[in-house]
Amino acid sequence: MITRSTRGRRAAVIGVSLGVLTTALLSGCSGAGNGSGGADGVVLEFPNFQASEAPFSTWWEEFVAAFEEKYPDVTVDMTDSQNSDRYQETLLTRFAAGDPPEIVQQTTTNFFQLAGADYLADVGDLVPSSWGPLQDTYEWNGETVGVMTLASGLVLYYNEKLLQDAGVDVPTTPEELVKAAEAVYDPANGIYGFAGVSAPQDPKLYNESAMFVVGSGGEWFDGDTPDFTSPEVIKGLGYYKQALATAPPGLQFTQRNELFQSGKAGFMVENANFLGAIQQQAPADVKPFLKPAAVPFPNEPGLASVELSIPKSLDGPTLEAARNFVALAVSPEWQKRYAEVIGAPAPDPDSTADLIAQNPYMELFVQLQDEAVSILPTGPEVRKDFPIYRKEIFDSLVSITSGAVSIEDAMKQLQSSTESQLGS
Amino acid sequence: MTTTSTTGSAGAREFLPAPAGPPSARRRSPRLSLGRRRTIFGYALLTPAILFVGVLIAYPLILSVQLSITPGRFASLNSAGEGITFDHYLTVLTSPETWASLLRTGVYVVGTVVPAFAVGLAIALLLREAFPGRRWLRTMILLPWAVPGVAASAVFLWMFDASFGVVNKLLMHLGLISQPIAWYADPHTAMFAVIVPTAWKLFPFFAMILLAALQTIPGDLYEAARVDGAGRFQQFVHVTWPGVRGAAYIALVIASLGVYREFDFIFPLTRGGPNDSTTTLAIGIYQESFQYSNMGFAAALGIVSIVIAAVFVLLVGRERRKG
Amino acid sequence: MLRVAVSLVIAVVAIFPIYWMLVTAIRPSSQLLSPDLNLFPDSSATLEGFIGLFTQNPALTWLANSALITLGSTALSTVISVFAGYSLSRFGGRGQQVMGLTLLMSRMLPGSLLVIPLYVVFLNLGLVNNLLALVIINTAFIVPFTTWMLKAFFDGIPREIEEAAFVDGAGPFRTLWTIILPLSGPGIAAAVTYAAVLAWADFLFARTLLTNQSVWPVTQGIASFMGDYRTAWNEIMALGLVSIIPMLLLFLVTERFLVSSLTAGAVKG
Repeated sequence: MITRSTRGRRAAVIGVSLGVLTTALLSGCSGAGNGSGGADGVVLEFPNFQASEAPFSTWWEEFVAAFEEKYPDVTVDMTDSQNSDRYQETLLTRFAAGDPPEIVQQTTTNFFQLAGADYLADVGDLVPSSWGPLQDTYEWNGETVGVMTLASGLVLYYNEKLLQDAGVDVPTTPEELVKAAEAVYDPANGIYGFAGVSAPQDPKLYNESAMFVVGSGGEWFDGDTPDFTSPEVIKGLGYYKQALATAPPGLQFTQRNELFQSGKAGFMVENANFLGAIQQQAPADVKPFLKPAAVPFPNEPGLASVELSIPKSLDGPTLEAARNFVALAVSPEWQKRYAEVIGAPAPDPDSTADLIAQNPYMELFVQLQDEAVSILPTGPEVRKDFPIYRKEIFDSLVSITSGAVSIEDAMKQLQSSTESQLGS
Repeated sequence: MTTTSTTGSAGAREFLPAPAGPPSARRRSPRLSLGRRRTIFGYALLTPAILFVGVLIAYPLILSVQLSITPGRFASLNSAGEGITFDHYLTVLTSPETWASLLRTGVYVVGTVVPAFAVGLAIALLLREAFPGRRWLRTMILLPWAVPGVAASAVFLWMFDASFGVVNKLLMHLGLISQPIAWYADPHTAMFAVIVPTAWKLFPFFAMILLAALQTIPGDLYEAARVDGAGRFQQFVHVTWPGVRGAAYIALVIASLGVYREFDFIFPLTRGGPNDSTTTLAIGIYQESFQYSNMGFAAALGIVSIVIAAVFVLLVGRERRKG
Repeated sequence: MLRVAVSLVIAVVAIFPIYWMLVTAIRPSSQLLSPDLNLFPDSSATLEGFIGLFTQNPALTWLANSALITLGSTALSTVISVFAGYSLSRFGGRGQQVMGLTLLMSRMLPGSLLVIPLYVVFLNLGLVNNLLALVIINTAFIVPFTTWMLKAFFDGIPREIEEAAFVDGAGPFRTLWTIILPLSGPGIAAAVTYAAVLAWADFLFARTLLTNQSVWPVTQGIASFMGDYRTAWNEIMALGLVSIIPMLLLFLVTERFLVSSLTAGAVKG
């Protein structure tokens, strides 16, 4: 009898004190706060999804340290984010709530959203004039509101050993690519030909299909006019479908990388800097065989994939500090270091001059970047609603590769639905 | 009945083991009347709850309503309240996509709740009487409920993986299929592959509530039924079901509402694809908000979905009162 | 006998995903992407997954954050809902309708609509990226349900007990404290369990309000793996498994209360 009452009461007391204690603890427990400048100088908050991704992380650490040294009364609060839907969600939430970070890093698709909502400041005067046409991706309404930090021509990676075992050479035409993929394809032993993604809404669907389409001379949009039914697009998609038949079904891009790096796939498509990732992550017995080559298509597709922007709402010393940040990042000295660290060309075309001798593939990468035609749309209406069109393209691709719809029919449908959306 | 002697600590009053006295036997306190004090006390107890819940639930609701009537595409906090338009609602209600999403949501909710309920009921019936291993089973079946939704998504994503997942491997091994099924990439199977994890996490909830309800049914009722010659099925219909019906309805409503707004299960698995086959209203709202930056439309869609849910609850309530 | 057989089948189905988490977590990375069935762990079982998990990620921090959030939310929501549930049970009235309404509302609001408003609220409170924010918001969404649970529980405690106390002039608060609470073990245990499960599993609020990795709870950690550059399934499953263990322990302690407390009439003479 006694026990129950005292136990119950004791439990209550414990419960409440625990609650109070935890609450007190927690109010002290906070992550880095928002970048409101203190009395001693400006704080630039910078959520960075490359902050722990080697090799980018190396460059960012060096760069931030150097920047803070150069501008002693500015602190950079670089936090480790993650490039994901949640990251984009957070960015949008923060802008909508009026609390954006001072330095904004985004992938291009997400860039369109913020640019379209008129959240980004004009940084055109910070971009060196020598930079190539991929930088135009970040123009909006006549202003340049983003600075590219990662841009590349697409590269075909292949597994030399698998190709040799199957008795095929490195392909130089689309037909050869398909044949080679089919030759390597041996699912019973867990070996696949072309490791292409087919998971729904996987972002790499865009890049991979674009290699086939843009490579063949087609484009999804000609300005603001949909061009899905052009013969080049149809032809490119034909090769795409054939190549994807040698991939594991429902593949996601993270699995794709894993598959290729472990030597279980003959081909995959990625940016130039992926070579660095291979060298870091692939097991030692597979690594030497994984090599880059030019895409076996008449045209070279490419894209600017990551950029930096500044929110429009900044002013005063904060704005100046943010602009200095960007200006330093695009300076030739740091661009050179960037190319050196990631093993691929930086946006600055002169960044690789000294590196070509050291890195056997650098010349190839530079060439690919020079020739690259952007796979991203250029028409303002399309870009404004790019997520919607991208989603519809993805849906079409998935139904094509699953065999549910023929390529011609899928493209016809896409054409008409997009036309009506754009027309309205 | 006697009150247990509750004095276990110093300074406590001695309670007379007395039967309950009539209210008039209460002493009147010199300050506020006891009745008054009790009322204030009652409200005071309730206040923190109302405060917490009210503010944190009411504000988003109000803001969403505001956003839904603010004109413009990228309606944001700053622009909320500038002008009034019902365009967003019009677009929502006339867009075929909305109704398609509603249909899919219906399929998702029914497809999840009905099997989960059935399994939960079966388990509750099973666990009602003692048998070896009952305690173990009771703990085991609660486990899915304890698994964080994100973890459940992760493991099902892995189990249903088209190329390397155990489900496909098992099915092929047993000869039931010859080709691996791309569960989350095929529009025909995606909804099923999203229902399974949701139902898996849901059935313990029903099992718990139904088991508790079953245990309140007095055994004599069953005795009486058996004496009257009722078979097992009739016992169920006339004794069991009426006993659990109240709890069952409440559980069904709460569970349905939960599944109705479920987002964190579907999104990591399919993102609403392929081909919108798993785009429920909740997913649609997210997409419009964060992927297409269509805040006003998303808010209107959200409000509409709340209204639909409210109608559902009212209908069920009416149904329940009829019986 | 049939019961045992059926229970076994059900148990297997219920547990299989958790079992699979375990099997995957102890599988070496090289064997993950293979076409073989491998239903059972074999001699190649390894702790690679766990090691990789903990050495390359602040997984311990995540777990600690989850623990803090859960403890705080559970304590706060239990206190609030004990008061509220008792109030509704004994003093009835308007409050009941309001709470019923908020219970339904909290279940009907689409999560996506909550993101921006909540961010604004906590931004203004200066609590973004602060675990306290999570305690507060979790509590707000737990309280409606646990209040309802506790109200039902308190309904099952006969009023005669309090009447006896009133006869003696005990104020309402003292009655609650000295009489009712000691008898409320099962009800409180149920509320605590429900609150803990919900707070531990929360992902929506965490991803809205905690953007900095150092304050992530384990749910965000798991989600972050699902989009990472390399999907190391054994590491994800290891994390998933680890995230279940605290809940498992909690269940072992409180599960008998969960069922019995939902039954009215918990007072034993």
